Amino acid sequence: MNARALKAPPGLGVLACLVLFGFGELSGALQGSYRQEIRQYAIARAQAHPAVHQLTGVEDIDQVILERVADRSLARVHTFHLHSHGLGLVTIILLAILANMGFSPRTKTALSLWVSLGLLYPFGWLTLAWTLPSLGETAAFQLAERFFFIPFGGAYLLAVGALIVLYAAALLRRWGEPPPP
Amino acid sequence: MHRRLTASVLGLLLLLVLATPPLEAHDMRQPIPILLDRMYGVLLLLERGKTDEAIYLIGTVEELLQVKGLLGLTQTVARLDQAYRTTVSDELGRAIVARDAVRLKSVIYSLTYLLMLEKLDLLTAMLPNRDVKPETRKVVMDLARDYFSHIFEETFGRRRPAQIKALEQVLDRMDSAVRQQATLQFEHLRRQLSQALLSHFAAELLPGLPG
Repeated sequence: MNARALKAPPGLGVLACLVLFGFGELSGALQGSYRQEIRQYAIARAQAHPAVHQLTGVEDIDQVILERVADRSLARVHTFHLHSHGLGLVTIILLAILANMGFSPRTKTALSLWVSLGLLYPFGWLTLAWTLPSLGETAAFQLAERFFFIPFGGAYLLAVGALIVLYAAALLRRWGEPPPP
Repeated sequence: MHRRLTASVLGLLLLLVLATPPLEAHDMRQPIPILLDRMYGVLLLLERGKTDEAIYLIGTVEELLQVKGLLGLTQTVARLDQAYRTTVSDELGRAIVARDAVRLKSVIYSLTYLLMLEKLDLLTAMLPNRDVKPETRKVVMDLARDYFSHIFEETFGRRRPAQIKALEQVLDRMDSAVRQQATLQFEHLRRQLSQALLSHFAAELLPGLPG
C-alpha cells in the first residue's frame, strides 16, 4: 500500500455506507421527534398481545410491564442509530484499506462485497424494536438473530478477521522483501 | 498551590456529598405508579395539617389517571372493595365530605394495604405456574414491596423502626421465596406479613380488612 497514492474505496460501497448513515440519521430524528409516539405504539401493540408479555389484568403491574416494553423498543431503535453510524464509518475505512491492498481486482470486489454485506446487520436492531412488542423479547431477538445478526453480523466478523489476516500476511511479505534501491 | 489543592479537595467532597442519596431515602425497585406517588403526596399534606390541599390532590389524581387512560382512584378503590369485600370506597367518600384528616389517612393506609395484598395474592397464584417468567414475578413482588416502602416505611420508619425492620425482614424472605418459587414458604410468609401489618398498624388501618 503506497501512502502517496491512496485509492478511493469503490463508489457503490461508499453509497451503501451513506445509505446506512441516512437510515441512522432518520432513526435518530424519529427518536428525538416522535419519542412518545414510538412508546405509545409499542405499548398499544404489547397490549394487543397480553399473553406474550404476561399481562396480569392488574393495572399498576401491567403499567410497569408495558412501560418496560416501550423502553426496550426505544432502546433498540437507539442501538440501531448508534450501530448504523459506527458500522457505516468502519466499513468505509475497511473498503479503503481493501482498495489499497495489492489484491487482484476480482479478490478486491469479492472482499468488498463481503464486507458490505455486514451493513445489513444493524437492521436486526430495528427488527427487534419493531417485533418486540408483539413477539416478546426472546422471540424478537431470535428473529433478529436468525435473519440479521448471525448471517450479516457473522459475515462482517469473518470479513474483518480475514482482512486482518490478509493485511498481516501482506505486511510480513513486504518485511521479507529486500529494500528498494 | 496549597489553596488550589484545598479548593479541589473541598469541591470533590462537596460533589460526593451531593451525589450521595440521603440516608432516609428508600430505594424503589420499579417506576413509582402514579397512584402510589400521589397517595404519598396526600399523606404528606395530611401530616402537615393541610387537609384541604390533600383533598384537592385526591381530585387531581382522579383526573390525571383518567387522562392517562388508567383507572381513577375511586375505580381502583371500588375494584379492591369488590375483590376483598371491604368498604374503603364509602370510607373515602365520608372522609372527604367530613374533611376528616385522620380518617383520610386511614383510607390511604388501608388502600395501600389492599394494593399490597392484591399483588401478594397474585404471586400466590403465579408461583406454582412454571410458565410465568421470573421477570414477571419479580415485577409483582417489587411493586408489593414498593407500596410498603413508599407508604408504611416512609411514614413509620422513624416512629416505629423496630416494627418496620421486622416487616422488612419478612419482605426480604418473601423476595427470596419468590426467586426460588417456594410456594408454601411464600404463603406462610404472606400470612405472617399481613397479620403483622394488621396488628402493628391496627390504629391506622380501617377495621375489617382481610388477613
